[in-house]
Amino acid sequence: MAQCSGVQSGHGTTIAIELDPTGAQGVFTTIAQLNGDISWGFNRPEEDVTPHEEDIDSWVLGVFSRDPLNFGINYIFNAPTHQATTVGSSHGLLGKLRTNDCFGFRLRGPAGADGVDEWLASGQVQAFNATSPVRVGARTADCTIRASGPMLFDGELQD
Amino acid sequence: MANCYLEIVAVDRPFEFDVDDNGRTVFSINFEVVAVWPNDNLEENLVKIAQDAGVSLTLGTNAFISSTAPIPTGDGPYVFVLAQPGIGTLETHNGNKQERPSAQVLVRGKPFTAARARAFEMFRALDGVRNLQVA
Repeated sequence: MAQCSGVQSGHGTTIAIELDPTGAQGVFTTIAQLNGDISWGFNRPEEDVTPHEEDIDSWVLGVFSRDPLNFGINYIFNAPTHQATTVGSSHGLLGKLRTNDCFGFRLRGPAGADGVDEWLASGQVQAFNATSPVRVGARTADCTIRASGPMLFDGELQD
Repeated sequence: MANCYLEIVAVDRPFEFDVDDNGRTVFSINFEVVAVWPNDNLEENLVKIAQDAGVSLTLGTNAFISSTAPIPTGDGPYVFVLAQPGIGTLETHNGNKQERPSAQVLVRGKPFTAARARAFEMFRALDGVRNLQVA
């Protein structure tokens, strides 16, 4: 059965991380149990450069900037991509927050592949907020990765 | 992972629902369920969970599933477990799914106190079950 062309369902978008950034580069493991919507924004900060002698505004846009990447997971304490342990060099999200590792990560669309519908960047885990409902609902965590430095959009470099 | 239940939560306490044609009091309890997909045996699993919690049930004798089960004529109490539609499935991007059926447990019995006692046994056995794999 062929894929739809044009508009796509967002279901099946994945985020993958380098569990061991000290090992071979580009070895990604998909974060388990991604729930909820995944949102990542890009922008350029603005500077108002309107001179006194003009009656219309002028702006200069600054450097290409990334919003924090926020996503949710159904938290499994001993899942390799979630766990808090810092033993060894392979760390899950909470472990990476503890060690402040810088690592490669990948956001891929539902039908993404190497260099296709794929964003690659380096960054660090900035936040990990775990929730255990008292009555109804799975154990979850809201996570944030902060990108830093050059990144690739579908194989094209942005630096 | 089949027959794995994240939670079984009673929506209400047992309440007197009806008096049937044999003069037996009918109690009803409704449950919301979250189960790891695929989950095809909810009715049997609820009976099994109640049995393991100490409720004296034998499927086909004093516990029945599905609307086609013949209703015995004795005083009971008799337990009927019926799956209900529930609400839509929860999903992750990775393909993990959680089904969210609901279930109704009916207890028919005479006298009233016997039906009520069995209804509360079922209520206490099932309400608040969490993270349980039914063997």
